Amino acid sequence: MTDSELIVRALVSDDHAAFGELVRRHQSAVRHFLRHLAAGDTALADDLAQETFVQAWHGLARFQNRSSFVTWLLGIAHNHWRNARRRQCTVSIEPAHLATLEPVPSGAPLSDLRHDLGGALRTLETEEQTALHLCYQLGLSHSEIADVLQWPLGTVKTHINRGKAKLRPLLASWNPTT
Amino acid sequence: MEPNDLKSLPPEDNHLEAWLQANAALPLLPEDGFPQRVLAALPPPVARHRLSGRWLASLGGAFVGTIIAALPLFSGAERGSLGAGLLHGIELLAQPAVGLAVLTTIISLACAFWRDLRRFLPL
Repeated sequence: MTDSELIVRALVSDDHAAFGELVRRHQSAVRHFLRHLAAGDTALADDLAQETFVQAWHGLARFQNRSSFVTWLLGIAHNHWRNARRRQCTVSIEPAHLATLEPVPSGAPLSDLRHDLGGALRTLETEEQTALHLCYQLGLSHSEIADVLQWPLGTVKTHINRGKAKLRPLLASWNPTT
Repeated sequence: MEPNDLKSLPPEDNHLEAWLQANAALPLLPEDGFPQRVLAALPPPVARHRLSGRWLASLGGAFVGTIIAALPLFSGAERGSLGAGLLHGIELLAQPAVGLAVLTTIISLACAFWRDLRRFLPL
């Protein structure tokens, strides 16, 4: 069953099971995105992810198929994150507390690679981090990122290109061809 | 993912782009009870029953009203004059007072079902 069919069932029949299936399909992307924004604070990220899905339930009738459902959810998640950041001045997404990046040999496991990439991302500007996370870690297109973050498409491309330029030397040990 | 024009990029950018696309994707997070947590936070699915009850009451009222209105048509005195009765009914609807009554009924129903209408209409 497609997302659209599940949305119709949830909307018309007040079907929690159909909405539950949508949550199962998209929880990973939403929680990854919020964990990224919350700099790894999984409890805060999951609280915000829950609020995101509850708001999505209440606003399901306003979802239009102009974008994918996950893009719409990530947009709601981003708004929740911004509101939470305004409310809680103690929440920081600055990378000050993060460990210094230590290059790992290219033969190391994929989990080390992801750790390194995550560390490298956190040395970038916040906007560059977020754009690269959505593009490469969650696989969104540039136009989808523009939808999620409410940025002009050109701004998305600029942040991605700047971020990649900064990543290149940081990830040199992983990619011998660079 | 939106394909970049790799030919327009320097070779090292091509490599980095391809490398990121091949290696950066995050694995799916395990559910760990998250969907159940979300479903528990949703309002209980009683709205549908309330909706059904209200619809039943409205439809029941409309049905009873129709029967009462139609009774004279089927009474002995009016038997055989269904067409005349319908014409009389249409004439009644054309009266401003009846129009006002119908409008009031529609507004009342819209108020009663406002929450449900908001779910189904882009209001």
